[in-house]
Amino acid sequence: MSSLQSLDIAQRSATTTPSPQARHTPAVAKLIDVSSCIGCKACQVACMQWNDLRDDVGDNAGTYDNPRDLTPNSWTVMRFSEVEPEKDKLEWLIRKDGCMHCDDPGCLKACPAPGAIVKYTNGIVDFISENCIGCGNCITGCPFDVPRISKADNKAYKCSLCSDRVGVGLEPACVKACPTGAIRFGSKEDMLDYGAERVSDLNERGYAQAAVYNPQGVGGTHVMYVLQHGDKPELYHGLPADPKISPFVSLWKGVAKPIALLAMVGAVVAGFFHYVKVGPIETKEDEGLQ
Amino acid sequence: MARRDNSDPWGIGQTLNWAWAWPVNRRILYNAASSAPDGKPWDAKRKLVQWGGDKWAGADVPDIRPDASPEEADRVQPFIMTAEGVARLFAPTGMADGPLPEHYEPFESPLADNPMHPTNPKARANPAARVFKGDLEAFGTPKDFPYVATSYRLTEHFHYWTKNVQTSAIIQPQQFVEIGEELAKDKGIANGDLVKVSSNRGFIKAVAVVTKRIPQLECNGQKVHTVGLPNHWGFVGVAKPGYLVNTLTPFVGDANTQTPEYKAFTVNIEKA
Repeated sequence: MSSLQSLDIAQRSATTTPSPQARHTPAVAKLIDVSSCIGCKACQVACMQWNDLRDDVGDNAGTYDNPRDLTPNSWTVMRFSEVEPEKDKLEWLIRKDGCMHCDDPGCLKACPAPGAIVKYTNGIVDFISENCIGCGNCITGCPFDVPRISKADNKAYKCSLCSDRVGVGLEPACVKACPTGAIRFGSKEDMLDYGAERVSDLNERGYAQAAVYNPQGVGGTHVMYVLQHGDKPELYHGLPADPKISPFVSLWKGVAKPIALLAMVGAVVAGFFHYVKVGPIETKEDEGLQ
Repeated sequence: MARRDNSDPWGIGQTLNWAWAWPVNRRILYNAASSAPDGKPWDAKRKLVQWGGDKWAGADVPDIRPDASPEEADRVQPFIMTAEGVARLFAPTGMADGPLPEHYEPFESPLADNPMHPTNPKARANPAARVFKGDLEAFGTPKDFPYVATSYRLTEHFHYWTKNVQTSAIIQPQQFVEIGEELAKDKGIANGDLVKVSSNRGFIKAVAVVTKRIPQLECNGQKVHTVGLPNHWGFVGVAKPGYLVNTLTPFVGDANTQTPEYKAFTVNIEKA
């Protein structure tokens, strides 16, 4: 997505100059209430239509999940899990998978291409595709395994939270299409309030461990879930209980970076002194002729 | 967007100026039954319509002739669409198979007789259903076709049409059949295997989805497995080609509506 919110950028990848901050927008969030989802995939279709993306017609691999995984053309897919949290109590948990828009985005931290990943002040993490160099570091940085590199153009793609719609005051396409109101969009504050309402409702209906999924290991997220089994997020197709940015990202961008810089500067300095002390390699003319 | 007034002046959830309901914006059919025969509400706290001395009125558009005075001996009664004017506990007329509901086995069933009438072979399946002789001969026996089959639709598709819609084809691309874990184990079928489902009328081939959602049932002391058949495939489209599920289904017209018996018949399933 190309940036429509170039006046309110909180963070840019691999950039040390200040980001444009003239405008500030309140933090937004999408709340996905798994307990109200019927798995119709209208959100997937809305995503394809708004973003004008069409995946290949795939095949059935013994599951309702289709397309079978996130791809450069499928920025959201429904993950179906048949689980029995208690014996003889079958539940079909359907989770809408896609970018979680972390407040502390691992992809952005890992990205070496200046301005290829930005976080707006409203919390949306967006890939500015024309700046992407296709290195795949964002995949390493993502605790939710979301970005996908296109084989066609070697760019990384993922859900933009419809930054182009949100930037002009509209809700994301999936939110608009959802027939049961399972996907809601608004300020993060309102979504947390609404999520708390849903949790107390689920508590009354026998789901004592219901919770809003807003993991603090990544600073909270701008896509949150209401989970019936908030104590066991892994039930929902392996949603991580405590997602964290891979230690390799902080190692690479933290400790390794100054060491690498030191090594580079050291090599130049050592080369200089070598030149001063030893001088250039000289070849005798007759040796050159042999 | 004109009718967006959600006020409820009666405090009973009646918002007559919000949108519109057919017919004549009436929200509850037979609403005059909310009042006793003398025209006064049964429940003073939940008044819907009542007789005001010269006409019916209240929190809804009365579903009765407005001047039908309760004092008139032969006035129209609240259930205006029944001959008696009152509610019915059973259907006195019009049904081909009797006034009260009854359980019959499907024509093709793994059970030998109707558990409700184990000694009456004539009451096994609905005796008033319409079955032609040739179709009767095409029924299978539980020996060859031991599993119950049912056909149904998926949320991703509308009948056969949306196989021609690219986005719908992307989200549900290929024909599948659903079986329970016990049956899959019995037959050595793994999730994603190609299987052949056959009835006495034909066969289809599709991918198996093994699911906990279709458990093995116990019916009349007998173990019964079910094969689920989503029916959107067959004919051409942009989705992957598939077989017509109605190749398998029997031709039975139910006693009153002639609705075909596509929800309950018997098949066999094998790894293809």
